[in-house]
Amino acid sequence: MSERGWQVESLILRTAARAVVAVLAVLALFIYWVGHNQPGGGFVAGLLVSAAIAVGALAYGAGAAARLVPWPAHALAALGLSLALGTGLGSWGFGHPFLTHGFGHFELPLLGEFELATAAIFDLGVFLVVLGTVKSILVAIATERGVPAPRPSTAGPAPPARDQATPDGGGR
Amino acid sequence: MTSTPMAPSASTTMLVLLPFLGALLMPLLHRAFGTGAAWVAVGVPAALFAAFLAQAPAVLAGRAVEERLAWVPRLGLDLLWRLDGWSLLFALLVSGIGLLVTLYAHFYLGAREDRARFFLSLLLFMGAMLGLVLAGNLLLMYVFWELTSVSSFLLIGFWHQSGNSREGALKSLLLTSGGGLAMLAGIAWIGASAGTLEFGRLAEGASDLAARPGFGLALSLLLVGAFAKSAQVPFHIWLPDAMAAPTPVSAYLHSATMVKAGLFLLGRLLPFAGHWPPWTPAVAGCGLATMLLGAALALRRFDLKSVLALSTVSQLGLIAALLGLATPAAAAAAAAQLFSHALFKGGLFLTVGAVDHAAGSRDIRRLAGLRREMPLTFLFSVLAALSMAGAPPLGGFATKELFFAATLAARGQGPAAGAAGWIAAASPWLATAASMLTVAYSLIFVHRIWFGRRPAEEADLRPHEAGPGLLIPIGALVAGTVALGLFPQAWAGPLLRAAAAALGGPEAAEALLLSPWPHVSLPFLLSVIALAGGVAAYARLGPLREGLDRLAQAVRLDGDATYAWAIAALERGARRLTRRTMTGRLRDYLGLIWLAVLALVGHALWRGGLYRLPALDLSPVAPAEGLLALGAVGAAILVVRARRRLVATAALGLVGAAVSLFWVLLRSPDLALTQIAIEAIGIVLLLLVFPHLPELPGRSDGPIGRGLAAAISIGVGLLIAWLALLGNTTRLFDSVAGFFVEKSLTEGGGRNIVNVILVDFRGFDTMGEITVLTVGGLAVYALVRLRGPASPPATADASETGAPEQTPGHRESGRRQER
Repeated sequence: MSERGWQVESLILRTAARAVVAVLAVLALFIYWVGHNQPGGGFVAGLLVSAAIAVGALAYGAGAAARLVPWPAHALAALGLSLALGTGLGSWGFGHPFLTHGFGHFELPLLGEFELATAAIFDLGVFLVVLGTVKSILVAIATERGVPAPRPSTAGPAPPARDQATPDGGGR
Repeated sequence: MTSTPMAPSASTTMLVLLPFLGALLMPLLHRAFGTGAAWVAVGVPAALFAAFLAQAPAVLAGRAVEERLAWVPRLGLDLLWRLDGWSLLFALLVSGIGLLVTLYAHFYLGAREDRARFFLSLLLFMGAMLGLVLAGNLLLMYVFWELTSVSSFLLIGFWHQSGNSREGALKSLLLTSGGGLAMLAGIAWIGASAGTLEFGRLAEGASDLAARPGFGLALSLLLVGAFAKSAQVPFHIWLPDAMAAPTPVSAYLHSATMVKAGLFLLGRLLPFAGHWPPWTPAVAGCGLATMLLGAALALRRFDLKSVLALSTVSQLGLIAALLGLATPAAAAAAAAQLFSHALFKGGLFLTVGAVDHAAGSRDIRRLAGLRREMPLTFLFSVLAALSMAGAPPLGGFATKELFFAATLAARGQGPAAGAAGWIAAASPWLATAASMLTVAYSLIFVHRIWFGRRPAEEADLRPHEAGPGLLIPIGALVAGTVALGLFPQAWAGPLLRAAAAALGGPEAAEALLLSPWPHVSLPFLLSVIALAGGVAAYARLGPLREGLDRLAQAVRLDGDATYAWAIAALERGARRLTRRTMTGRLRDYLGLIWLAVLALVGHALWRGGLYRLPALDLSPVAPAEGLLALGAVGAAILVVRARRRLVATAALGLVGAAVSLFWVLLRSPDLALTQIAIEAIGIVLLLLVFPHLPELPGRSDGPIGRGLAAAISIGVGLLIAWLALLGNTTRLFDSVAGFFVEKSLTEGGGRNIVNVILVDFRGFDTMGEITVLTVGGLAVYALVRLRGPASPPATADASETGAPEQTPGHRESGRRQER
C-alpha cells in the first residue's frame, strides 16, 4: 500500500503524466535559472518539481514518484540549507559582511557574455530546501499507511533509587 | 588599573574556542583511538594553562589586557575579552585544575563508560567557564554563564540511567538557570540605563549609575543570579544533589570553578556596586548565613561527597561574606581564600573519589581504618583536610588568618551604620563559630575514615591503594596547598595580589600578607579558638549530630521539600492549563490564536490612536478587479457554507485562482507563479486525503461556539482590512521601493527585483524562512511517523486526524508565505 499510495488507476492519467512530469521538470529548471532576470527563482522552481512529484504520485504511485527525485528528501533540504548558509559564510571569507553577494560578467567561449552570480548558489539552496521539504511531506503522507509502529523508547532498566546518605556502588 | 587595548588579534578568542573545538573532536577521536583519546582532552587545558602563564606577566604588572573584536559596533555588541588579575586567577584555576581533573578522569572512568560524551561535556564546560571569566561585558558573560549551566547539567546527568542523577541535574539546571533569567533582567536594565555593558566603563560611571531609580532592583536581580549559581542560601539545595555526578566532575565544577562563577560576578560588580548601601547587608549577610548553615548541615551527612558539598556551600558563603564587606582587606582575603579553597577542596574531592574507587563506598558509617591499605591517599587526605580546617602551617591556615583579620578590621574600616555595621561587628564571631564547625567536619577526613576498626559486616570492602593516575593529580593539589602555606610569596603571592588589586585597588594588594607561621595577634587567637572548639565538637560528633537533627526538625525549614513541592505544583498547574486549552480541535487553537492577535493588535492600534482613518488616497478600481474581488469573496463564502467537501475544495481553488489573477493584474508575475504552484500542490494534497476524512460538517458547535467563531473571523477580517488601508495611507517614512528599483541591477546584478530582494537584499530573511520550512517539514514527517499504524482507510474514523472538523482551510503554515 505504501508503494502505491495515492495511485489512481487511470490510463489517461498515466499517459498524460509522462509528458506533464517531464515538462514540469524542465520548466522548473528553466525558471530557476532565469530567476534572477525574469520572473521565477528558486522557490517557484522547487514548487514546480514538487508538483511534478504530486502528479507522478497520482499516476504511478507514491513510491515511483519519490524515485523521480532519487535522493533522500531530508538530505536535499539539509544540502539546500548548507548551500544557503555557505554562501553567507563565503562572503565572510572574503572580508565582507555576512551574505554579501557578488556577481560578474564573464566571456564564455560558446555562450558569449555570461553573468554569474553567487546569488544563484543561494537560490539553488532555496530550491533544494523547498524540493526536499515538500517531497518529504508528500511522501510521508502518501506512504503513511505502511509505516511500522515506532518502538517504545529504550531507556534501559533504572537502577534502584539511592538515598543521598548511602554512597553509590563501586567504581564511581 | 589602566586598560591596554591590544590590536584586534583573535588570540584570546582562539583560546576560548580551543576547548569547544576539542569537545567537538571527542567523539571522532574516541572512535579512532578509544580511551587514548583522553590525552587530547588532557592536552587542551595544559595548553591553556601555559598560554595564560605566558600572559601573566603583563597582568601582574598591573595592567588589564583587553581584546576587542568588533561585531556590531553601533549596538555596542562586541566580542570583548578582559584579562585582569581577577580573571587571570580564575583562568589559571580553570585550566590548571582542569588539567588535573581531566587526567584524573582518564584513570577514574572505566572503559565501559561513555567516555566520548564525558570528555565532550567536560571540555564544553571548560570553554564555557573560560569564556565566562574572560568576558569583558555583562552580556557576553551571561551567554557563557548559561552555557556552564547547560554543560553542568550534562555532566551531573552523565549516568542518566540513575534517577538520582537525572533529578540532581534537573534541580541544578532549574535553580541556576532561574537565577540566570533574573540576572538577565538586571543586565538588561543596566545596559539600558548606563548605555554600556562593559565592566571597565561601568566602573568608571559608577556613581551616577547608582543614583538612578531601579538600580537597586537591577542589582538585586544580579545578586539573585550570583547567589543561585554559587549555592548561597536559599539556593544552596542544588549542590548536594549535584553530587550524583562523577567525582572528577564534582571536584572540577562543583568546588573549584563553576560554583565560584557567582563569586566571580560579585567580584566584577564590586568596583561599581561596592559602595551601594544595601550591598554589605545583602551580600555579607547572605554569605555569613550560608557559611553557618552549610557547616552545620555538613555535619549531619554520612556520604563523604555530601559533606564536601555542604562544606563547599559554607566556604563559598565565607568568600561571599568577604566580598560583601567590601573593604580592601576583605577583598584580599577573598581572593586568597578562593584560591586556597580550590586547592584543598579539589584535593579532598579527588581523594574521596579514590576511596570510592578503591573501597566501593563513600559512607562514613562503613569506612574505617583505611590508612593501612591506602597510605598515600591517607596522607593527602589528612593534609588537605587540615588545610581546610585551618591548621598551620598549611595554606588554609594562612588564608583563614586573612579572613579573621578582615572581619576584625571591618568593624573599624568598613561601614558603620545600620544593618551593615551590625553585620560587620558580628562577623568575627560568626566566622569563629563557623570555623569551629568546619574543623569538626574536616576531622572526618583526618580521622574517621582512616583510623579505627571496620565493622564486621564491612569485611567485604577490599580497599587498595589508588593508582598513580589518581594519585598524581591529588598530590599536585595537596602540594599546592602545602606550598601555599609554607612559601606563598614565591609563587602565589603576585597572582593573588593582582587579583586583590582588581577587586579593591592597590590597598587591597597591600593588605594581602600571607605568612605561614603564626604570630600572636587577634586573628591567631580566633584561629586557636576555632581549632580547639572544632576538635571538641568532633569528639562529641554523635550528640552534636543528634542535636542538629532535632534543631532541623524543630525549625521545619526544608529547602529540598519546598523545591519538590514547587515542582509538583508547577506540573499540576501545567497539566490543568494544558487540559483546558489543548482540546485537540484545530478550530479551538485557531480561535485562540486569532483572538490573541485581535486583542494585541487592536490594543496597539487603540494606543496609537490609529482607529481614525486619515484621508484615503486609493487608486481607482478597474471593473475587472472589482469583479475578481467579488468572485473571490463569493468563493470564500462558498467554502464555508458548502455541504460537500469536493465543493468546498473546488471553491478554495477558486479563491486561490482569483488571488493569482490579482497578482497578474497588479503585474507581479513571481507572486502569481508562486500562488498558482502552491494552489496546485495544495489542492492535489487535499483531494488525495479526501477518502480518509469524514464528510462535512464534522462535529458542530452550539450557537455560542458558532457565534464566537463568526465574531472572531469577522473581527480578523476587519482588522486586516484596516491594517491594509492604514499601511497604504500612512507615510511615516519613505518607501523603500525606490531604493530597490535603483540598486537592483547595479548592485544586485539582476533585473528581477523580487528575486534580487529575496536572495540578496533580504537574503537573511530568506535564510530564516527556509530554515523554518525545513523544520516544518521535519515536524510533519515526525508527526506522521509517530502516529503508528493507522486504521484501514475505508472507515472514516473521526478521531484519526485529531481534528474532526478538517476544514479545507487547514494548510501547513510553512507553505503560504507572503512574498
